Amino acid sequence: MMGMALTACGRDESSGGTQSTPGISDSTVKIGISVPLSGPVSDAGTAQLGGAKAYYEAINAAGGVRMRDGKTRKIELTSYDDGYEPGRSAQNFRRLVQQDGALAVVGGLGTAQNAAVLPVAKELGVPQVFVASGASLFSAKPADNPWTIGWQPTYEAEGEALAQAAIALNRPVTVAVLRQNDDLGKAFLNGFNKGIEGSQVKLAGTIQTYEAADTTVDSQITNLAATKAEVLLSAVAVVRLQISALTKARELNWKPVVLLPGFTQGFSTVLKPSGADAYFDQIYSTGFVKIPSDPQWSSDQAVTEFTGRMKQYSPQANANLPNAVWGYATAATFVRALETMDGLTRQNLMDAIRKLKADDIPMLLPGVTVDASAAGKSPVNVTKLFKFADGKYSLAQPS
Amino acid sequence: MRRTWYRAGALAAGIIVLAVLPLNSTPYTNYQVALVATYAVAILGLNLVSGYAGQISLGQSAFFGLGGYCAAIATARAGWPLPASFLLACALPAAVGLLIAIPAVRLRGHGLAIFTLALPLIGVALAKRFLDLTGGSEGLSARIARVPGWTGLDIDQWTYYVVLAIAGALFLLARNMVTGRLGRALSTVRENEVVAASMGISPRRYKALAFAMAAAYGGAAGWLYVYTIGFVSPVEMELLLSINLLAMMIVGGMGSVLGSLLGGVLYVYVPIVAGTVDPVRTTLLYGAILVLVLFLAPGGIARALHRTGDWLSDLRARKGPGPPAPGDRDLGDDWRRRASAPEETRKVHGATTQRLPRARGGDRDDGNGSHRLRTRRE
Repeated sequence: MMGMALTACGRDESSGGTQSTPGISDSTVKIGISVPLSGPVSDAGTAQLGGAKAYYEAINAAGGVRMRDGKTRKIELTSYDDGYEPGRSAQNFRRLVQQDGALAVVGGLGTAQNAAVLPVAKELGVPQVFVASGASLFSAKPADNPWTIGWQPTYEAEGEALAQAAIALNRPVTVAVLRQNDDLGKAFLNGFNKGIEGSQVKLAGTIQTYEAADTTVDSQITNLAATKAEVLLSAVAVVRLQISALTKARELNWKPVVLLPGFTQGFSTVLKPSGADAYFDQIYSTGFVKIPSDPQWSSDQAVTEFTGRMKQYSPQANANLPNAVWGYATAATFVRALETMDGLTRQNLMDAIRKLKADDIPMLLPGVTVDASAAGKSPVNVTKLFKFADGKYSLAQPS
Repeated sequence: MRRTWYRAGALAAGIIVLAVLPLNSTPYTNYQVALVATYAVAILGLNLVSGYAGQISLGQSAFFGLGGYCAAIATARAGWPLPASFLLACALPAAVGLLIAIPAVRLRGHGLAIFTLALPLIGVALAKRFLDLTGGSEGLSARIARVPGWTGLDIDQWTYYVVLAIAGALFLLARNMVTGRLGRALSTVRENEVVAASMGISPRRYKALAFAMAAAYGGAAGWLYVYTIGFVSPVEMELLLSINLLAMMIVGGMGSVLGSLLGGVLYVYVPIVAGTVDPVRTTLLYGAILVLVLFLAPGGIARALHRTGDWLSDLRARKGPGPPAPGDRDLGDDWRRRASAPEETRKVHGATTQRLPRARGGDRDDGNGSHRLRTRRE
């Protein structure tokens, strides 16, 4: 008992807080990231980290980040593998803050993983910013979670953007819906419902759901085809099941306008294997970043710079995964926040982030901007509608 | 006799180190050690059904997650006191485990493994579906640990003590179970069901019992996890965790209480060590470390440690009989075979007879030092 009492006094340093400036010296800013570098999602995690690293290294090579106190600082990024396990993400956060003395943890990947970190960030008073997840909870309640903010558009925003494709048909249509039977699927549909409010677009009577572990969605698609709906919102997040859905619709000779989520929009991964590219007349999907392999950006300055930096600084990461682009653009957003900090504390960082507006973040599509000042919304909250034609997606012109 | 003293001394030293450790280390370290204890309990449960009773189970993560949800929902949402939610986190998985075991134990060979494969798949789907209760794929935040004011401890220190105390009690309980009648019955069932039945041990009943105990330990580990991390989500139920726990149990030592503890240590620290060497090649290094361990210590680390200990004391007691021959690798189960199923023909162990004269009353490598005293008394 005496030992216990003794230590309670003996241990009060390094519990985070806002008074000192942990992680910032005159020449460096220390930040951290936790991503899956092992396990089933390691590709995405490696790409996410690789993108971020490529941007920070390029900034460092050019001298560093010039901050408002007149000093130029290099960015030191420490990364840990969480294997996509929430418990390890939470522990990595503690490690980054308490052992490594990071100013903030930037751009971690995964919904449950970051949800586990969220209360720790709050407890320690350390920024957990620009979380790579489409779940709304990271940006939704800044008053409850003052140290956390998301980055990319939410699933709701994506569903809302897809609704525009149905509305643009400009006639009364019904939409058949297939969605994942969880909060992700619900968020998607909620956004879509919000988007079609007051339009001529209605949902078909039956909404079909699937489980991520299902092997096919044949029966769901058969039920939906029976409604003879003009539009299919196939909000399927699993590539293999999206192939199953589109293949089945084709077999049933059902030819609706197809709306796909970003997860399963790929030409070579979904459209080609399912034969959907040649069968359906109209396929729409959404996006908010430039896809580096898309020929329309082959001479775009931001894209060539991205490709070059990925090759130079993160050769082991797959630059064609969207995560690489997200990681890169997230890093750019964070550097912008550092540049606008009014002091050097963690609180100053959060203040700068909550005021951040930028329309020139590299790799974002024209018209997609960062605005972290809108309370309750993710910093990137615009998604663009894409139409598939001639083997590639291009920005859909609003008709 | 001397070895008993060594062991008691080592145990006492270990307890003192563990008791003092959290007072001088960072919260990160304290939570990390608490996690080791947590996963060790889950692996210990798995060891009861897979190591001792010989039934491979891929369902441990489902019970782990269920225990976690019990903790989060009962305490954080319904306001139950912690002891009540802990009991629920043991009892509910045990009940589910028993229910599942009743049909499952009728399957032979790998039937049970395939049957249990379904548990994480169903568990994840259910956890995502009952959004209002479980919070869906975003998970449930549940900071259920509270420090009583009189201790003067920080939250991480208190968490450490609570988790280690509970884990210690569960380890003691398991040790007493597996060194007694139950352990002998389970290993008889594992070795030969016909022999077991002829001795009045119902293989089905004992397999079901082992499965239910494994589930209860899994649930308890889930509760400890939520107590430590303050969060639970469907990810904690996923099959990958089951497979990882199984791998760590095998590397740590099957059919060994100490091996379960080592499994917990490995589960938490191997990825960290691998990440320190080269963060980008974590997976590769992780795999390499596991393969290397199994290559050097085929029966698991616990067994290798015991063999080394035996060899050292042999060396000291008489003039060097030398390290055990390679053929002795699987001797670890010998005490149990001798104790429980004498009729059984020893299939693998060519070297058994040669070693018997040296065996001091069953004092041979058994994967768990505590068995020795017991065996001697019998």
